[in-house]
Amino acid sequence: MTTGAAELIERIAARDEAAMADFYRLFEARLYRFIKTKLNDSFEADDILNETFLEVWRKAGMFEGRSKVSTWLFGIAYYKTMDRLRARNPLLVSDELAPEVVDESAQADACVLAADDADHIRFCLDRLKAAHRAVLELAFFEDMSYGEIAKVVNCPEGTVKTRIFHAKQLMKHCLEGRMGVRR
Amino acid sequence: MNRKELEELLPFFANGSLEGREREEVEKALHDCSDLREELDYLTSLRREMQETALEPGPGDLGLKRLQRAMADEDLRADPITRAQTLIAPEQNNRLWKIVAAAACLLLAIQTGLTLHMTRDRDLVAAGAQVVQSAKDAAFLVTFAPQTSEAAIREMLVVMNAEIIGGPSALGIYLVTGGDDPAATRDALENSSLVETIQEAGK
Repeated sequence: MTTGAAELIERIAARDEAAMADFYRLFEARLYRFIKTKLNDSFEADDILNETFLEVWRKAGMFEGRSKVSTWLFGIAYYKTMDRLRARNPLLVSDELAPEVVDESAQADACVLAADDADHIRFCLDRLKAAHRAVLELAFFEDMSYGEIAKVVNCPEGTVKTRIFHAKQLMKHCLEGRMGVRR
Repeated sequence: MNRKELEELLPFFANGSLEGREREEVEKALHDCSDLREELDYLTSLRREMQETALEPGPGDLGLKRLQRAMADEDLRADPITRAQTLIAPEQNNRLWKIVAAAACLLLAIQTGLTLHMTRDRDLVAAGAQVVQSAKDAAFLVTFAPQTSEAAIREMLVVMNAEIIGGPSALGIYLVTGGDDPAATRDALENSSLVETIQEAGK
């Protein structure tokens, strides 16, 4: 897939619209999930998705191949998503050290409605801060290394490791609270 | 590598992206520590279940159409010449230019033909009443006798096969040309009772 994506980027740099369409189809679903889970708004997620691919169309010629295409692409999406979140509520993004607070009453209500493990996972993911959620999703949805994630979110590798450590702990705490001691 | 450092690397061991010396150290620690193996089981399970959560459908083809429109707008803004050309559909564009070029050529040909036709057989009278005439026709400056009717003048000129091509000037001078023989025309005009004076033009 990576080789295919790199070839597509070369063709996109030469203004090949068919290559751009192929590139869109290759990444649209994964990228949309990455954006939507942070914004939690379909219309805004559509906008960011469009802006991200448009940025690829504009800047494909500047891609030097120093990282994977997916790392570059998710980096653009991450920057635009966090920018939108920052505009919406600066505290959600900048307050790195504030602990995530799990609303126990909401948790209890949702627990009754939850049908399976996927619902619990979605519920707990929704409670993570965008920065924590991003590193966890990039690691477990996209199987990126911590070095690649550091490039996507533009922060030191140590910060990525710390964020994913905290995200993992928070997920564990949340899931244990909802599903008992199975984990 | 301490316990926290090992735990920080476990998610990347679970997703298969850890390599080299770090991978070896984690493998060794996993071999020696059951708590770490349990932690790895949790992460492996979490990763699998996260990947099994259904993907929410994105905008799909509608999103692609929107992107393609935005790309087209982007390119048009970057290249105004292309913008002008693409305002007309490509097939229309070619046809229109051909039609415009053919019309321009036709107009030029008509205008040239008309100009040549108007200047070839006719003498021109300059603003200062100086005569510019063709080499083959003789012309005469003529004044007619007072009270001569237009009908009488016309009848006389028809007989001579002559015609008035200019005038009358402020002094009542007409420019007359024509006739098969200029000398005969001159004689006829001089002998006509309708003509008061006659002079060869340009002399």
